Parts: sequence; structure tokens; C-alpha cells
Amino acid sequence: MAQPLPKGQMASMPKRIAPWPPVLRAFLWAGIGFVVLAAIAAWLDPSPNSPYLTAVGSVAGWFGALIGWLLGIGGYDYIVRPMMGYPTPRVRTSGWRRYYEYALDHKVIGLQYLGASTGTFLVAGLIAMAMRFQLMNYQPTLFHYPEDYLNAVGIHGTLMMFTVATVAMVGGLGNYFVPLMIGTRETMFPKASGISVWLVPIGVLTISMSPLLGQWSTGWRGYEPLAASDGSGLLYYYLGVFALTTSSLIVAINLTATILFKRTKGMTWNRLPLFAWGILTVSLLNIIWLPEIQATFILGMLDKVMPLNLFNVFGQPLGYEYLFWLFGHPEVYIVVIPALAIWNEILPVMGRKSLFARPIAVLGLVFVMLLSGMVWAHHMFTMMRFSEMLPFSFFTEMISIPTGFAYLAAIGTLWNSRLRITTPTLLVLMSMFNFLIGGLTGLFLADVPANLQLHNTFFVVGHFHYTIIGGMVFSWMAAMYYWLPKFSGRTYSEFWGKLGAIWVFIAFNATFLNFFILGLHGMNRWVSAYPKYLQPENFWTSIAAFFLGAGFGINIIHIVWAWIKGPKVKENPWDAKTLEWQTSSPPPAKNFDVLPEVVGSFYTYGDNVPDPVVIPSVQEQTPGL
Amino acid sequence: MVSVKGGSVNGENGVGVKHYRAGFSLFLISQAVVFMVLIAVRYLIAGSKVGPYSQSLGVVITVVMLISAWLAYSARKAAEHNNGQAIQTRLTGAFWLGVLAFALVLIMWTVVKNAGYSVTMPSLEVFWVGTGFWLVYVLLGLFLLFAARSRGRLVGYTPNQHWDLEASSHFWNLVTVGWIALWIVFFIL
Amino acid sequence: MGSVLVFGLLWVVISLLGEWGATTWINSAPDGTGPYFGTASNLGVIGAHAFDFLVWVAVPIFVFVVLMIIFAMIKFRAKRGEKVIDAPKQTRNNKVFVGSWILISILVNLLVWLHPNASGLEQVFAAQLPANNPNPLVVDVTARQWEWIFSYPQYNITQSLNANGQDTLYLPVDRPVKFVLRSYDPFHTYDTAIDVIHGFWIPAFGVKYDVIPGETRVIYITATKLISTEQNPMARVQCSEVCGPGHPYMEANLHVVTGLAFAKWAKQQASRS
Repeated sequence: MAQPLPKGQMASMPKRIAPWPPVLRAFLWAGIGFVVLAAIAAWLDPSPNSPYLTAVGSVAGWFGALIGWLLGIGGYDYIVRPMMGYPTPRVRTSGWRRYYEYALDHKVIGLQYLGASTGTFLVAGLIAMAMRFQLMNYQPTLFHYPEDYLNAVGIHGTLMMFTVATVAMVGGLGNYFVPLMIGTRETMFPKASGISVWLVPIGVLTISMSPLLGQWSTGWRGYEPLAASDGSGLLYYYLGVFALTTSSLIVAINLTATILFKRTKGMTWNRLPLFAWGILTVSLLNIIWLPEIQATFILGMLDKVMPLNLFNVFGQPLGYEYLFWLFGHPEVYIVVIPALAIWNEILPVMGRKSLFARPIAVLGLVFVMLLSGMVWAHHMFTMMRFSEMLPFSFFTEMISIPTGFAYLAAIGTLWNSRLRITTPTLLVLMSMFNFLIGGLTGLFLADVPANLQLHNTFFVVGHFHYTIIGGMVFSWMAAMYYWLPKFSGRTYSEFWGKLGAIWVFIAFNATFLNFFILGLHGMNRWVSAYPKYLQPENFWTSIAAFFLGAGFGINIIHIVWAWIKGPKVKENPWDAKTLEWQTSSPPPAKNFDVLPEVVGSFYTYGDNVPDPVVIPSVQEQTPGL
Repeated sequence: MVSVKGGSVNGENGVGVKHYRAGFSLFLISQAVVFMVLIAVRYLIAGSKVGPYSQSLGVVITVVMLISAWLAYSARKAAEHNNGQAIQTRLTGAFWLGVLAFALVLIMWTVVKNAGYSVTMPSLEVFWVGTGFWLVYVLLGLFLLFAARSRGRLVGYTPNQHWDLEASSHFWNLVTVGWIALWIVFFIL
Repeated sequence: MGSVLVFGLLWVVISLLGEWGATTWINSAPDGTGPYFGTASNLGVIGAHAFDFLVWVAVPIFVFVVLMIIFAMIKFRAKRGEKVIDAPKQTRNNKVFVGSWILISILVNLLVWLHPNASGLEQVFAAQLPANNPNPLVVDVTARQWEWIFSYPQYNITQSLNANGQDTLYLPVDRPVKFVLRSYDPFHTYDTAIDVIHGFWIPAFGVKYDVIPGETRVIYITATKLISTEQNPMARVQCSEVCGPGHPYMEANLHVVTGLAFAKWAKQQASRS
């Protein structure tokens, strides 16, 4: 585990100040911030309807809470005061408490992100179970009013999108593994990274609690002009997403700079691990598109709270939709690019075979990134003018070419390999299967005449769940099993791992294949009540969905068990070549005693292939470290 | 941490201040996107119509911001020449001119609001929104200038160690460029 | 080389079987529309043809990848308990494979963009030309939160209602219908800022088009089959774009009847209103 700091260093640092647990302090300060700013807002802009909490006040109060929360958790001690010239206090480097405090170690931050993502995955997953329970009956049962159901849909989608899909593999695995994989001891901006992870809990809480402010029914996209006249809870949807995207933006900047500048000696672009390439391309997308959606959401919030007429009939009713999907489609690739990278990270190791056509695999990631900004309006075929349909359908078809490059590399690697069918292998292959269905159904949706029927039906819902659960969540699970020995020095049970994988695979396909049929049968989205003839299919879909939920539970329990109690395992159980395996498991506080030097490709196997990594003796290292 | 000015290096894997500068510029690029969205929204909602803004105040704010940005820049130059006193005065000047610009925007809001136009006409709505966004950036920039000044007093800068000051001044320059972009688009084009 | 031959043979055979299955599936419906269902209009048929064609395109791709996954799991599997050694053949590139993959994926994508997409759109655009829709029945469709209101200006029907007082859409078969789509609330005209986007969707017609506040959009559709909500629940008008709490209930009944029956119904409605 973590190593204590050298004695001299310890003495030079002032004592920790936090008198009580930072999380509690953060809650207190957040409460104070909320009360103060909401009071000021109520004083400046009194509302005849409510004596204290107005719409403006709830927004101002939220920003007060945000600032109070971030300062309380450590921003005040570790960022604001040092910035002004006061000394920096020590950061806790051992014990379980460090996971609940401000941290600088990228591994702690990565685990904080992973924990937040997994917890949110469970919450949003339970909401999905409730939705499926409702849909077992064509009439309202669990959700008595449609707005209850629609609000659940919105929270499920928003949390899954902004806390799980875009965070788990980038903020979580990216923060943990990128520095290890490129051979460095810390990220470029560890201080910002330490604070960014604490934006996740407040974002999740904000979105989850938003119905208290007034139920909203727009779903996760918040379409205008409905949003302007919808429940006030949308304000907290905007603000929650603002917090979560800010967190991802900081991760993106930090990891991009880390990959650009902190690679160890010999880590050329041709040798950079595929996962690092994936994170780099994703981060570039994030740096461009997250500020875009933040600005759009703040505009939506102002439009609602002021109220302005930006996005209604007096302004531009479709303006918000264009701005939303301008981000929204790159978002899909933000979700899936790390998954595609993970496939080609795991398959060469498990197949003991060189990665096939590595430049093509990397180019695929890069071209997906470049094209992803050109396809957005295909989400709006039913809204746009006829003249816009052809160009957008063209780019939409074209983006499947670079996406296919991930398959090209994976298939070429599988061919003639000596494939060890382990749980990670199985999950990668399942992910390839699922994402293939997601991609092929995209072919139908990209066809405009067919899209005019399939749009906004369950066919679309099935399609994007296949890409996101099937592509990203399966790959995330594969990565968790693959790297479990790295996290904890322990391993999982192959029996339970494979059982969990097969369980989830069967339940997933049983659930979401039905969505395509339902969509073709005329089941539209965002309905808690639907025509009776669709009930039998929906009933069986729900049953399968419950099995899927249980399957995720089994996997999570198994991973947690293996993490704590699993059998101990040697340091590099897969005989992988990438750098993260060239240090002890779990990695020491500073990752490497001596920074390794890269002299060859990580993805070349075969007889007489020299080791790609050289550990220089201590004297050879740059002095001054 | 970083202790060498651009060019030479001593960090892990050869990381120097020029790399921090490049990393920080990623942040500045991302924030430039926000201004692009504001400009796009202006054309989306209000077309190319110039609203009844106070042209003279617009010019005054632009001049104030230019001087303020120049002061922030020259404070950085002063750090390179190890001129601690100049850093303090220039940062103070930049700070207060920033406060002035902030106040002038608020004054312009009042002027435009009381000029008898409907506050919800499209060219005014995009104006409230665009300048309002900018005011938030000003607040953030003012805090950074204040922190840079405070750090200069408590710790001091040397020609080799003034990254905090440099980052603050870079951000302040972004705020200035942001204003000029909005000014050109909203007031002139 | 042996593996390549076996795999290739399997791929061809299974793909052919798959195509045969897909064709049977498509032909299983009486009108040859298979799994698509929404084919009771001229536009729906275009979409159905596109869908069927894409099924044929997708089958060999799907078979290729899935067969490869299964094939690798069987043929290239490392035996349990076997010592971990590197694969004997370390092909790191194969210009023929990579080149043909890229070429084929570009060609397939261009193909499906040109046909059925562009060719289908060509037909959709042609079906929207007023010249190709002689003597259309004009139906003014008003979407409000949460109701569809249909009026027939040519027949002096301001709001067509059934016996229960619910909004209902009657259409004559095989006669072009010009739907004029608007989103506003005729009962609350003082607040135009509250209008939202709705989606005008008739599942059985296989087409939807959104209704945008502040815009008047026109879509020409010709119903080609005699259907009604009672006999086929897909024959209904359904809002397809989330429009607030009442969204699930924003639907109306649809009856496609013969020209004679329509004239009779229109007369009845006109005398009522």
C-alpha cells in the first residue's frame, strides 16, 4: 500500500488542519452557502408566491452550495489559500479515510471516480428497474402520474450519461491507469484533479433531488420549448449536469496534458498504449464539446429562470435542439471510444498475439473523433428541412467506417491467436457482439425514410442501449476484471466471473432485442401508459430486465468480494507487457521506484521479441527527483 | 513544483513550465468554446441585428479592459525582471480596472433597460446573456488577479518561479479577448 | 490457409442461410413487409423497402463478426491448464485483408447511403411535390398540450369528433392528403410562448414529422389501406415527441375509409359543427 513520505519531507510540511471529516465540513459549508446566497437572491428579487425560496434563489443558493462544498472538501485549505501564498497542508496518504478526502494521488482519485460511478450506476439502475416495473402494465401502477414516470426517465438518463457513461472509464479508469501506463508518478494537474472528483457527488445529489423543486418531464435531453414551461426541477437538472461536466472537463484537460507531456523515456506516439490513445481522443472531444453543452445548459437555465424567449416561438424553437445535439453526438463517442480501446488492449494479452494493424486501430479512434462533430443532426431527421437530410445521413453512414477499424484490429488479433478464454476475454467478445448489433441497427436509423418511422420509438431506445450498455458497460466490466489484480493484488473466481458475464449477456440481449420489436410494433418513448396490445411483449421485456439488474448486482458483489477477499495473485498474472504491470500490485504511492524506459512495442508477441521495458538503475535516472 | 521558466526543464519526464503553459492553454481553448457558443446564439436568435446598446460605453469598456490586460501582461514581464514592486502596482491596477469594467457593464445594463425598449427583444436578450456570461468570467479573473497579488506579497516571485502570476495573467487576457470578441460581434457587426 | 477456407465456407453458407431466413421473414407478412408493420401509406412503403434491403445488407456483416467471435473461441482457444506461450504465427499486418476491409466498408456505406437512403428520399421528396398530389384532401392538424385537433376546411369541419366527443381522424383511401401541421393552443391564444414541439406520428403509416411552434409544416401522405384503430391499434395518431405530462395520452383514433364512406362521414360532421 501507500508508502510514508521520507522523514525530511514530512517535517517540512505543516500539520493537517481539518478538525473534522472534510465531507461533513463540506456539507455544512454547502448548507451555509446555500442559505446565504438564496437569502441574498430572495432579498434582491422577492417573489410574492414564496417568502424565501424563489426560482432565482434556488439557482443562486445552488451556486453558494457548490462553492461551499468545494471549499469545505479541501478547496479552501489546499487550493485557495496556497494560491494566495499560504503554505499547503499535508494530504492524507494512507488508510481508508483518504478516499473520503481531498487527494492528490491519481490512483486515489481514480478510485473515488470509480466508486462514485458505480454507486450512481446502482441508483440509476434501480430507477430503470422501477421504470420496467411500470411498463409491465399498460396502465399506471407504480407511477401514478405520467410526470412521475417521465421524471424517473429523465433522472435515469441524466445520471447514466453524465456520471457513469462519460465518467467511469475516463475519470475512473483513465485517472487510475493512464499515468501508470505512460510511466509517470503523477498527473500534470493533480490539485485540480483532486477537487474535480468532488463535483461528482454534488452533481449526482443535485439531479437526484431535482424533483423536490418541481417535477420535470423532458427526459435527459431537456428539449426546449417544453423545458421553459416544465417543472422547476429542470433548474437542478441543468446545474447538476453543469457540475458533472465540469468534473469531466477537468479530467480531460489533466489527462490530455499528462499524455502529451509526461510520457516516460522512449514512450513515443507509436508505442503509446491503445487505452491512452483512447483517453487522449476522448479528452480532446471533451475539451471541445463539454464547454459547448455547459454554455447551452446555462442558456437553457437562464431561459427558464429569467424567463427569456431564446428558445421558444419568439426566438428559435429548434435552437436548443441544434446546440444540444452538437454536443450530444460526440458524447456518444466520448462514451464508446475508451471501450473500443479496451478491446484492443485486452485481446493481444489474452491471445498472446501481436495487435493487428495497430496504426489502423489508432487511426480509427482519431477519425471517429474528427467525424463525430459532423453527424449530430441525424437525431433531428423528423425536425429538419428536407434539404438537410442528405448531408447528415451521409456523414452518419461514413462514421461507421472508422468505428469498424476497432473490429478490424480485434478480428485480425483474434485470428491465429492462442486465446485464453478468461472472464475479461469473454466480456470483450460479448461487447463486440453487442456493439455490432448497436452499429447495425444504426444502419437502419441512419436511413432517413426508415428513420421517419423508427425515430422516437423503442427501436431507438434499444439501439442506444446496445451501444452504451452493450459497448461501454460490458467493456467497463471487462476492464474491471482484467485490472482487478492490479487494483488489489487479488483476483476473482473464474467460475463466478464467467457465470456473471454469461448471465448479464443473456439477460441483456433478452431485454434489449425486444426493444427493437416493440419499436417496430409502435411503442413510442417517454410513455408510462401505452396501448394495451403492447403489454405482453413489455411484460416479458421487464422480466428479462429484472434478471439483467440482478446480473449486474452479482458482478458488482463478486468484484467487491474479490477485491477484498479474493485469492492473492502474482504481480503480472496475465503476462501483459504494458507499463502498469511493471510495478507491484497494488501500485506503490509513487507508482515506480525508478521510472521505466520503453524500448519496444507493448503489443508485439512471438519468439525472440525483446522485452519492451527496461528499468534503468537508479543512478541513470535524471537527478533531482 | 515547477521552478524553471520556459525552455529549461527539471520536472519528472522532462516537464517544464512551457508544458504547464500548454496544459493551461487547453483550459483556455475550452473556455473559448463558450464564447463561440454565445456568438452562435446571437446569430441564431437575433440574426445580425445590432441592438440599442450604448456604443460609447462599449468603447470605454473595451479601452479599460485593454489597459487592464496590458497591466497584467506587464506584471508578468516585471516578474521576469525580478521587479517585485512593479508586480504589485501593476496587478493592483489591473484588478481595479477590471472592477471598473464590471461596474461599467452593470451601468450599461441599467442605461439600456431604462432607454424604453422591450427588455425581451431578441437583440437585447442575447446581449443580457452574452455580457452576463462575461461578467462571471470577470469575477473569476478578478479572484485570480487578487490571489496572484496576495501570493506576490506573501511568497514573492522570482524570474524562475512565477507560474501562478503567469497563469492569472493568461486567464485575464482570455477575459479581455472574450470581451473584445463580444464587443465586435454585438456592437459592430 | 486451412482456417481461412473453413471460415470462408462457413461464412458463405451461414450468410446464405441467414439471407434465406430474412427473406422468409420479410415475406411472412401478406404484403411482403415482414417485420416493418407500418406500411399502410405511400411513404411507409418506401421505409419498408429500405428496411428490408438493409436487413439483407446487415445479415452477412453480422454473420461475419459473430462467426469470427465463435470461430476464434473454438479454433484459436488455448487449452485449459496449458502453459502460456505466444501464438505461433504473429501476423501483424495483412495488406490484402486491411485493404479489402477498408474498401468494402467504404463501398457498403456508400451503397446504403445511395440506396436505399438517397433513392428512398428521392421518392419521399417526389411524393411531397404538390404537382404529384392532385386534388388533395386538406387536413389542418393542430397540436396542443395535449390534444390533436383535426379540421377539414374543404368540408367546413372545424373539429372532427366521434360520438364520444373525442378527436378523430377520418381519411379516404388512395387520395392524397395534405396535412398542415401547426403547434399552438386555440383555446389559450393569449400565451403563444407555451407551445411545445409535438410529433405527428401514425405508426401504421410508417411516418412521422414533428410539429414545431411558430412554423407551419406541410406533409403529403396517401393512405393505401382500409384500416381503423379498432381493428389495428397501430392505426392511431400518436404524439412521438415528449411534450409534457400528458404526452402518453396524446393520441387520437384513425379511420381510413373508402371515398364514399368518407363523403358520408364528412357530411355528418359538417352538419354537426
